[in-house]
Amino acid sequence: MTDQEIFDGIAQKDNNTFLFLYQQHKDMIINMVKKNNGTSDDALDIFQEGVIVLWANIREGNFKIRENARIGSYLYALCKNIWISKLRKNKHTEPFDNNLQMDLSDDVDEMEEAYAQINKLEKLLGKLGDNCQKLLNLFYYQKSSLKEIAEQMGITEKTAKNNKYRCMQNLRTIYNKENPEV
Amino acid sequence: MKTELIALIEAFLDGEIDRETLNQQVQELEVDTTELQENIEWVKNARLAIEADGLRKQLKSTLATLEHEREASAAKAKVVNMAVSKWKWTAAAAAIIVFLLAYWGMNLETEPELYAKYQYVDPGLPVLMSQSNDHLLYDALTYYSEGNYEVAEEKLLNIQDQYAENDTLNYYLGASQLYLGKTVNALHSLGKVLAKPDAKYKESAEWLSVLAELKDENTAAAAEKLKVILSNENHKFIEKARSLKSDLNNQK
Repeated sequence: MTDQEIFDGIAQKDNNTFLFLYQQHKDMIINMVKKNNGTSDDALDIFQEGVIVLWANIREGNFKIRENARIGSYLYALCKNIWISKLRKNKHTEPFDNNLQMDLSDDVDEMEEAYAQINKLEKLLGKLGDNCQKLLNLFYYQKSSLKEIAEQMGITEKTAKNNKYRCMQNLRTIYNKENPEV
Repeated sequence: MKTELIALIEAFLDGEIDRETLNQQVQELEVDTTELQENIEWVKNARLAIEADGLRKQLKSTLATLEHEREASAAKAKVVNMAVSKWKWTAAAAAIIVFLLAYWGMNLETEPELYAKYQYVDPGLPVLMSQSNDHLLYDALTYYSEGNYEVAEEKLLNIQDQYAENDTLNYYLGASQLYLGKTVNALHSLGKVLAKPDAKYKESAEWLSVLAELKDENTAAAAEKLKVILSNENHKFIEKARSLKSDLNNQK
């Protein structure tokens, strides 16, 4: 796959693109994580996290294809930084492998920063009720219309619309509670 | 945050209303307009977070299916293998013995002991040089960092004329060639780095040159090249060099 195809595939949340990236980079990521106090399962989580950060930045127009750096390299750099951050959070003061260093390029740094806020919100979604989670997922992720949502959830279209805003409002309330400085 | 405000911000984010209309209608809602930009950012991030959550589930499920299929296919292969009749096992065992004898006899693909013991794989440059003008060089080095030495070598050779005196190119070209087993080429490329007294990567190039000789089981040449490293107390590979010297002495 070319970088352009990978870029488009990630933007469209295409499973074949994700599988391609996984096949291409899993050994390197597993190797890096295993050498540094992690397991294959950790590596799988890190890969997913890296893909999501990349997707969010593509989606928001923060990431553009560059001639001199391939998307796979960014993904690997992101995975490496995410793993180092996790090690630090878990009180591993230094990674096991002395060669493992944070990738300090501005691009990677900016991509992680842009995603930090989104990740914070993502973690709060689980605190919403099941119906809210389902409705928001259907509307924003699956791109279902309000009519389809209404049929699926056994409510009217108007209720679906009102509930969608109420669910967002609930999420904001939870967010404000968790972040009192806001 | 009022639901009406969320609705207005969403209409703005979806391009249904412009900024001016948004400002006007927000004022009519009698909400604090000073926080409008922050609220817009919040709604934008919340929408993205919901999509990210869905994508996380999608990835988990896709990769779990892949791993499951792989495990299932490995288990199936195991069952098939177990079903192979006894004579087939005997034939397979005989074939393996023949292969192992050939392997042992010809010493296929095995690394020389000392090379394997002291092998050092330079991980490549830690920072993405995305702002650099040396696009072609850093493109090649990206392949190197990924362990794709074949493509890295090819790309570095293609731009060799352009960067003839470049230490970075010569060093990573030599390293790629060493890891590909092209020791003569590796020594030639690393030699270009070593020929310059103030070259970047000089110490690493010195160590890789020793490794290239070890890979060829040319211990006399390795010992000779080792002397340069041993003469420098502060050399980054001094400990390895001392240990290797001791191993070489024990072999005599």
